[in-house]
Amino acid sequence: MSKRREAISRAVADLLEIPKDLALDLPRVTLVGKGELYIENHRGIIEYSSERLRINLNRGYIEIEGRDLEISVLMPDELVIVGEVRSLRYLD
Amino acid sequence: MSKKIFEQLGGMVTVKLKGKNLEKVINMAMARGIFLWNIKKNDDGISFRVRQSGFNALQSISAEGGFELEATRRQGLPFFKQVLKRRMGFLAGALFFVAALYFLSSFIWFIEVSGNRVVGEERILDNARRLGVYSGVTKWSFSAREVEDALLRDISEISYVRINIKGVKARIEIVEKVLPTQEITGPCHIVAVRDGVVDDILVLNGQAAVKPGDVVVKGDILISGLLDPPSSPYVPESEEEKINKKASLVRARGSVMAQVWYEGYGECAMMSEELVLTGEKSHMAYIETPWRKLVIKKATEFAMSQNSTAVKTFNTPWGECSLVLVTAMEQSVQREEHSENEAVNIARERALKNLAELLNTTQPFNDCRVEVLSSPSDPILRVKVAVEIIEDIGQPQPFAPQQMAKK
Repeated sequence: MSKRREAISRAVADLLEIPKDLALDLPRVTLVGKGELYIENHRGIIEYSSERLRINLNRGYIEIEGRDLEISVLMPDELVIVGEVRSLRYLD
Repeated sequence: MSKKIFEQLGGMVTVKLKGKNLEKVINMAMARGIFLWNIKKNDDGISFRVRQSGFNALQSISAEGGFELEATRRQGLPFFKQVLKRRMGFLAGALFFVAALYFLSSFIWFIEVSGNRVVGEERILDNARRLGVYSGVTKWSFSAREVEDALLRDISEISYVRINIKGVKARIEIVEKVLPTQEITGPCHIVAVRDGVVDDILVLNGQAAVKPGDVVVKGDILISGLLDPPSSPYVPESEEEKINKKASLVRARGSVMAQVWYEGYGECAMMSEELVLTGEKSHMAYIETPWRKLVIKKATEFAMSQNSTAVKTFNTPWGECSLVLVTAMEQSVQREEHSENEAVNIARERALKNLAELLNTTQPFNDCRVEVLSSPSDPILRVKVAVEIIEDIGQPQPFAPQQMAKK
């Protein structure tokens, strides 16, 4: 059901050239160098330590590994992580 | 930047959170719209910042979940308010200072007048005072534009006035009218301003009424502005009187040099005492500071001395300091007895000097008569000196043509 709905949404977004993060509620991840990471459309924090951060998404989660990671800004659908980012993985 | 200002205005709390599954608290706070930032991992928990408004909600969240919450630092205005409440005196003093500053700066304390040359400053200040601008008046009690207009109306010699109020100082700027000199354009005579004997006469316009050697008194017409028409050589003298001749009126011009006398007065004591410098000198130096006088070198005291002082002033951060050098020159009294001839000469010189000052000339008088006024027994010899000089005694004096016609 949800997969079909998603397929329709994708098709409509493609047709109307609407950004996918808006149409499909996908996360928008911006990484500046390796020191600053912006994530929009997140769904909360699953795990937080200075070496590993897991951030919940609409589907699955992002796992960030690095050193001295800090959440410098945390808002309901936006967060900013500073520190040294070594890896970024999408997991279902 | 604006974020930081809002943080300071609303107040912010740095919080330390301990326990297990701290992410839960973060997520709950986020879900309730509590804004968190600067989240850092510590050894035994996390620390972050939260707004003062969200702190109480955060406390209840952590109490529900059994977490240990500790506020480590409070910053911003709401906390400063509590500090101020404890120091009411300080706050009241600060407010009083601002109020006093505002109150005192709302008066005019100094008035300056500039640009006036002929019109006296006192007159302008008096007029301004009457119109409500004086030292000690509040700034809002008068309108500068109205005072300017009234000043222009009241003082006819000024053409522009502007009142500039800067701080506690009112500056009245004035531009005076430049009036044309009173040039005589109508017919006029040249008359004598003082008694004398005419020495030389030069007529540029008009008709000479005197000739060299004539004795004139003050007010006599020297060059007349009434010009008789020239007699025609073609009209016989007997016929001439029958023709209705009309004198033409001119503005007489010319110079009339005449011998005039001036009198001067001088006196000389038969026995005079004079202070003379002996040549002895002594120097004194000291530094004058706002607190005290530091003597560098002392002077030897003279019974009578003439002092000359040289001051050099320095501006230092602590006030004005000056280095003063005083040179004292010893004086002594010299008694001098004059013979009558000497005294007359001295008195005469003094009288001539006074006269020269009075006449404002530097050239020496070549001819003078001396008259001794005092009796020989008097301790002071007084003389009257009369000098004779040649000067222009002419002065234009306009006349009305109708009056002359009647005559």
